[in-house]
Amino acid sequence: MTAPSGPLEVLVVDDNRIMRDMVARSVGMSGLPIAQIRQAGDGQQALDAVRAAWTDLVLLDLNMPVMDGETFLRALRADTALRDTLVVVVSTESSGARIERLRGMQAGFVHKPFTPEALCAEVHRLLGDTP
Amino acid sequence: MNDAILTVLAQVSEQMGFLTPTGPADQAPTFGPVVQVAFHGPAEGVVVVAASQALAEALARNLLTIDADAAVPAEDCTDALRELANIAAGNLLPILHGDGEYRLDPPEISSWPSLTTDAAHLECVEGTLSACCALR
Repeated sequence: MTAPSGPLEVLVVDDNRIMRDMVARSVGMSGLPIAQIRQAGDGQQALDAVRAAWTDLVLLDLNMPVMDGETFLRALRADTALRDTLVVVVSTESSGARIERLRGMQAGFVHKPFTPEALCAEVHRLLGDTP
Repeated sequence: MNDAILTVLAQVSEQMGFLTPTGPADQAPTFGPVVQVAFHGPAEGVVVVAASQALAEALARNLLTIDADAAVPAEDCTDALRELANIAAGNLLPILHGDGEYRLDPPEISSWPSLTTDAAHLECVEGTLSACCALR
């Protein structure tokens, strides 16, 4: 993973529009340099979005219709042009085995319900800097 | 089981919904949105969450930052409760039915079951919130 050098192009992926807005607000208030925050409602929309426009950071739900977050993450890592995209999974997932599998695909993890501080700390950790 | 449901409801309503839990309530709300989340994995069933209309409106106001004097569309109330139910279900299942990989279906509009033994009711300053979990 390589930390981006300029303002971040962010994609928030969640099937619930309210949670998308909450995550977008949290990252918008994080102090991170943000160029743009886009949104997608499922994994397939997210794949289309990252293929259509440069994306530095994906904030990803797991349980979604059409394509779930883990399938999206696997497809992202299998794509040589996109595999280095930073991903933080934001989910209610509690299975230790599944979380380890996600971390094995170089994804950060934040458990819902989350605080904006926890989300920001995980993004900073992935970026390799101190909040 | 009811204590676990109550604890998770209080945690999720406070941390995610910015609501103010005050303690157990006697019964489920009689008027307001109800949603259910079907789950699959080590156990199969549904988590049903009901909110009084007042609590659902407060939840939507908090999550969508709607002005206090503006009307809250019914769709916003339902969508806010959907997300709260999704998070409550995700946090409840490992406690009630053990660790494992659960898959949650998208929350759907539902009705409160007429016979529930494993249910908990939470009183908040903003209204009442209830949840139950039923295995299939």
